[in-house]
Amino acid sequence: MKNFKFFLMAFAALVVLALPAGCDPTDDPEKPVIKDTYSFDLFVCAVKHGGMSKNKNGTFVRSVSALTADQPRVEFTGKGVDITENYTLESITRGRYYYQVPQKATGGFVKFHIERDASGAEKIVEDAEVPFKDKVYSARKYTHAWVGDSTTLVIVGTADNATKIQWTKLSEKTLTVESEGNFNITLPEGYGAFSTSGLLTYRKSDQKLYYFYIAKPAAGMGDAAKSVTYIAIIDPKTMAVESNTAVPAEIMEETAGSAYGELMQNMIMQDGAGNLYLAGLKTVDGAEMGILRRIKPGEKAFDPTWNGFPNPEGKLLTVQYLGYGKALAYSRDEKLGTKIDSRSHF
Amino acid sequence: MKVSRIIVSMICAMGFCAALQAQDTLLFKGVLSDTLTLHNATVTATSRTQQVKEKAYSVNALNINEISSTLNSIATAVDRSSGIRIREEGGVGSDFELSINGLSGNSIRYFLDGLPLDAKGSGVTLANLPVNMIERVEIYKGVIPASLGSDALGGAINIITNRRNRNYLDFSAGVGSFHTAKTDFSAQYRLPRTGLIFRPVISAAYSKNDYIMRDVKVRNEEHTAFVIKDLPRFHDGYRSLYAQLEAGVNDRSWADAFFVSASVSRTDKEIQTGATQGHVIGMAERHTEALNFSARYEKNHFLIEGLRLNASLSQTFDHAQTIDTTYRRYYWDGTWIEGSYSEIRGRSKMLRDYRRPFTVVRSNLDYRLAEGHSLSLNYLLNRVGNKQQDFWDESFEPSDDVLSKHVLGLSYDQSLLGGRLNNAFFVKDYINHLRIGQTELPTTTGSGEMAGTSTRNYFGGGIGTRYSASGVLSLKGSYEHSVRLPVSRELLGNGSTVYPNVALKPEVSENFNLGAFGTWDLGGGHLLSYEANGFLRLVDNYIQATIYETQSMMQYVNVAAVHVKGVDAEVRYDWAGKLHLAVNASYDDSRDQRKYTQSGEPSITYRNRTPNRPWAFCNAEAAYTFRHLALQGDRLRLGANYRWVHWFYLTWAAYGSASSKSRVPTQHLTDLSALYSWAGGRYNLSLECDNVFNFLAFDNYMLQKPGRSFYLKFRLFLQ
Repeated sequence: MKNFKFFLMAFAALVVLALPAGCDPTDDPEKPVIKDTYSFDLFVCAVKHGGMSKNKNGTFVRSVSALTADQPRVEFTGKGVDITENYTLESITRGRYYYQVPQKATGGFVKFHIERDASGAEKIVEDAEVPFKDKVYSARKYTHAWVGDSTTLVIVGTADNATKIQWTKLSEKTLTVESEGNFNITLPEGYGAFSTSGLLTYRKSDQKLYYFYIAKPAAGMGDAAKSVTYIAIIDPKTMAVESNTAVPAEIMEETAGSAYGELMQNMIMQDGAGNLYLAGLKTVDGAEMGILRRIKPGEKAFDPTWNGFPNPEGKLLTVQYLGYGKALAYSRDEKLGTKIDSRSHF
Repeated sequence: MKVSRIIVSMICAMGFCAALQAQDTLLFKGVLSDTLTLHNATVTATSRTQQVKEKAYSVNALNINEISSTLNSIATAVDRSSGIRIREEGGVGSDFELSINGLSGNSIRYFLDGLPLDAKGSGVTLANLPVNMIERVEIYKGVIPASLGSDALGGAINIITNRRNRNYLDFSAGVGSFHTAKTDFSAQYRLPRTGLIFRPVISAAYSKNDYIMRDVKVRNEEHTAFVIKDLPRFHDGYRSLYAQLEAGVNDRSWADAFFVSASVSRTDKEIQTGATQGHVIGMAERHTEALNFSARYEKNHFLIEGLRLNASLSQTFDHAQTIDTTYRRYYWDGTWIEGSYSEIRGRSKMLRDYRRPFTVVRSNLDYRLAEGHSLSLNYLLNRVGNKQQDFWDESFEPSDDVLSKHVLGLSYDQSLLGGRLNNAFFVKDYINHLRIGQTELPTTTGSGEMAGTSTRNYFGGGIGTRYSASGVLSLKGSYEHSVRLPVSRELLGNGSTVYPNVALKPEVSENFNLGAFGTWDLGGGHLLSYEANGFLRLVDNYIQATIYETQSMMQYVNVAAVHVKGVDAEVRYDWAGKLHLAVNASYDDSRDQRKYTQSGEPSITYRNRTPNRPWAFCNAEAAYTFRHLALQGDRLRLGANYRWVHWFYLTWAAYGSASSKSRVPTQHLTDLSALYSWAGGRYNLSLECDNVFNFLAFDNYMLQKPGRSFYLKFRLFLQ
């Protein structure tokens, strides 16, 4: 019971599904195949939430083969690998691999995975580490997408105190920097900063990158009602911005996450029919409430008639498409509190 | 309720002791009628240092005059004391954190002749205070005498300056590794006709701190991969200047001592890393300057017979500036890439300006009730302002915070049984007044919760006792219910690497000390001294520094409950002023005592050892002095010092496999020194080699410290 509560208290008890040999990233999202070999990497922060630079107590990882109810309790006392000093809890994941700008701040990118030795003890194995080339990223403050059959990782973040938006393309295998640049996007008149990372996704149906970002009066947290959300559509081959359109406030005031990409939470999902969904915010009676919008196949703007999260009680925290026409969404209940440690986040 | 119990206990104890005193008086009267014929008499007396050690409090006393010819900074001498640990962030001039018996830096208060050391300026620290002006350092552990008028919780360091009776001139100059140079000058001159005394002090230090960083990652020539190299630090220069003139008179009808002084200080510091080593900085800097005026007055039999007044007043104009105006990402080879955010805080650029006017008023009235009984009333006002503005960031709202602390103390000291039994009883009242004006980063700094003004009142008190069965063995114990008000650095940040936290609550602690000490004269010039102390600190709202690693910033936060217990011990052996051996060891056990979280869930770190702090360390010292080698009155002292620090974890010990846990490894540091003096100590030449085996040394969160280094110093002392 204590350890079950431990998982709750740790808040950032994030279950990361790592499927080393059992899942092909190109599987049909409508019908994911359940295979036999799995490994689950459990990232846990002691005491408090681990993200948003407030982890003072350590981040630990256990790797287990199954999460069914008949499994023994997963212990962290004296077990698990301590990644606190070197890696962030927040990470890009694909299969068994993690890609990130690491905590150890060597000034580059790292790719690693988690293995178990003969005794069953976990260890980190670094597959690649490369320095920044011309663009610098801070740990956790970037968004990403996979292009080119997932052989290329695109990282996007802001620069020059959030007044420019930069991108970097990396080889998935070696993390070699293939190309870099800035998007031809400038701050609109009257706005002082872009959202720290924005949200990036690759849409298969039209083979374009969709970049959702926010223009704000000033850097830092502010009133969502004073921000404007934009959709930039980008050619992934040339990285040229083909269109850049403001989203009307009545559709969405801000995206649900804007500073740390999708490194810990998912805000974008796509179904097999080509619909693209985005979690966002809208002010209702003075409180920021969740909203779920959709861009239909062949369209480039949100369907104003569709809201997948009506009657919200709080912000959307994460959305995931599960296949078979089903999606999983978590939202918080504003009545249970909105501080970072509030029960509403558990 | 707790305080009234203390007061009742004190009254009972006073009554008991009064009865003892009456018996003592009768015995004394019985001895008066005897007479003795003296043939040979040997007069011994305890030094001032020894007198301090024999007080009822748990205290170390270091005689700095004896070792100032080899000493580069007071911090080095203090670090070698039992129960003390100094953790530095780098080389000369780097920030450091001092702990006494397990309680860390900001639980400790620093005083210069009883006045807060801060009054000399925020840039003046134990590390750069001129060594030549110091006579001794008193280190109080856990229980602080009310005469210091302080809210220290872990301990206090009181630096006592030289008050020699004769005119003197003391000059030293030294050069050392990593482009280090230092010079100190202090003197005293008394005008024969008027008796006016002048005491000038000048000190200057410079270091490039370009020691080698080992095994650091930098980019290869094509910038396509990392390579591992050993490279020198390139942006860690330090410069400091301190000048002071004190003038006054002694032994007047209206004053035993009246002095006024003025001092200026300036430090310039290049910042090389954030709180972690991977965060390399290449342009940010910090500057401080301060101007101080102070006056002190001492008078025995002030207004009435037996009443002593000791009063001080100090006003400091302190100015600090943090310059963080580039968006660069540096590597250890000095190359950089244009980055996205500022170097220190990882946010917008800043040229932050802080003006902290600092006022201290201290007065101590000491009344001798009778032989061996005295009553003291102490008052300390400590007021610091914090005016912030930014000359670069136009969105920054200027602010003006004020922190005022009043500490009132009443103490009763008694000496009984012919001085064999000494007791001290004291109560303290702490009044904390805070006016918050800053609004930046409200969720991080707490300024959103703490706007406006607040005034809080707290009580404390304690007792100290010492019983000497003989010179060979004495026992002492002390207890204090203590409140420690947050210092300005914890509440208001430092403008560069420390965020403010204006919602911090004061620490409250029950402090217990029990110790034994003694000196055994074995004859033939052999002298053995020893002491052992046990301590227990039960701290609530413990203020702990935490790292925001991804921004390499720190912030102080309250932790609900921490218990620290431990022991420290020291043994010293001296033979005929030639051979000196000493060893001390310290162990402290600091555990989280929060059984439940604020939401009522069991805390998973309950009874875990507090992370990122050393808990076992020792020092060993050996020195031999040769005399009359080449010149009359010369001596050569060869010394060695060894420091050992047990490894410790950076995160909570219980979680993660031991092999994967981040830890600061065990440290073995050996220093050698040679001091040659001639003409009766008038001329002194010393050579020091620190970290002689070039051990890879770490401190504060795995920041590398200097490797092997040399320092040559010449000192001229005329009296």
